[in-house]
Amino acid sequence: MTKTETQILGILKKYISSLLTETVLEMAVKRSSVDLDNLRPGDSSRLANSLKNGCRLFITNTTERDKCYSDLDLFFSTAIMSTRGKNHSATIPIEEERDIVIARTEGRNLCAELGFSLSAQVSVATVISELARNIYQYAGNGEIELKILDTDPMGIQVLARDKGPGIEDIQVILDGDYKSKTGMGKGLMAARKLMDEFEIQCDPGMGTTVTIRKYLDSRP
Amino acid sequence: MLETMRIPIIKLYDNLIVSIQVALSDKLVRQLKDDVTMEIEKTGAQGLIVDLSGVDVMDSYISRAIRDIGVVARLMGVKTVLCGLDPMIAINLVEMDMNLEGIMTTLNMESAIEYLREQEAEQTVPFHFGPENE
Ligand SMILES: Nc1ncnc2c1ncn2[C@@H]1O[C@H](COP(=O)(O)OP(=O)(O)OP(=O)(O)O)[C@@H](O)[C@H]1O
Ligand SMILES: [Mg+2]
Repeated sequence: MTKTETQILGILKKYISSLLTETVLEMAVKRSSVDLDNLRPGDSSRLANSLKNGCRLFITNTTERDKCYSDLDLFFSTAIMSTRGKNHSATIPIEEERDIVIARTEGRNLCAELGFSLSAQVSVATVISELARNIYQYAGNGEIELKILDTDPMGIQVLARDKGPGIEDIQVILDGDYKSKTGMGKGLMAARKLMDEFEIQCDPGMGTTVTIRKYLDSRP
Repeated sequence: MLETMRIPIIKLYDNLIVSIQVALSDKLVRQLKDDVTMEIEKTGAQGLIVDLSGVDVMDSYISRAIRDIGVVARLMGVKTVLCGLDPMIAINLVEMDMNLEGIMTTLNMESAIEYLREQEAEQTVPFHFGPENE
């Protein structure tokens, strides 16, 4: 039996009869068509969902069920840290328009693997899309760096960096009084509002760096 | 390949149907805007249904483009209905303080078609002068 298998069974045994745990796991593995010995990025969230579906049949007490779900989430997010590496980070260059889609898709996948809720996944992907488009529109090129934060609760950090002209009227923009010539002037506001932490460094002539962080448990 | 991809527009009776099932790049969005306008002109469609069920995010650019499509369609005498918007994305839109103002939105394709059918039926009621009644 592999280590992953033992660990998952260990979690399940706390909530359902040990006679059933192996069946639940087996079914979930089959249904999500993953290889337990070789979990690839993206696999864990599918497996986690299948496992939860299986557990739902056997854990009738909703408090217990939620506890089991969060144990599973915690397990998989820790597992992804060890497969991706604790200090996992990925840098996506933003040079062409299509890099915007690549960056937000990468970001969303990483959030999914970490066990972020669907709505948090959408928020992070949307914010990445805004920041990447700003780079492309106003600075020409730059990069998006995604990083797992080994904090408690765990989080994701997105850094959008370019060597463009910087932003002179940043205060006006963040006060919400800004009338954009090129868009709706919603991008940076959304980044600040939807994320847990938002920092911007954009002194004219120094380029622009926007840093946002979103943590796992912050909001459903 | 990505570069030449287009979102298909289907004509079904009096309506045009667009179903977005890929992550939208800005280029794809612009292409769609042009294509829809051209198809409306070419086909003389009465209604336009945009199925958003496969959209991954509605960021400021995409939502503005969708809104633009609705506005252009209206100027050309075509009613637009959006459908299939993922609830998480809908919540996100509201949180970002963006709206698709003025565009009818339904849960799914069926109710979108039904809505357009009702609209059409209303329009074919013979016009008569007189005090307005409900
Ligand atoms: N990376 C950047 N480099 C230089 N200027 C920027 C950068 N990002 C944003 N800006 C400036 O800040 C303004 C506000 O950006 P924001 O993303 O909030 O709105 P917008 O891009 O104008 O419109 P929207 O994002 O709603 O389409 C922009 O109009 C632009 O002038
Ligand atoms: Mg912007």
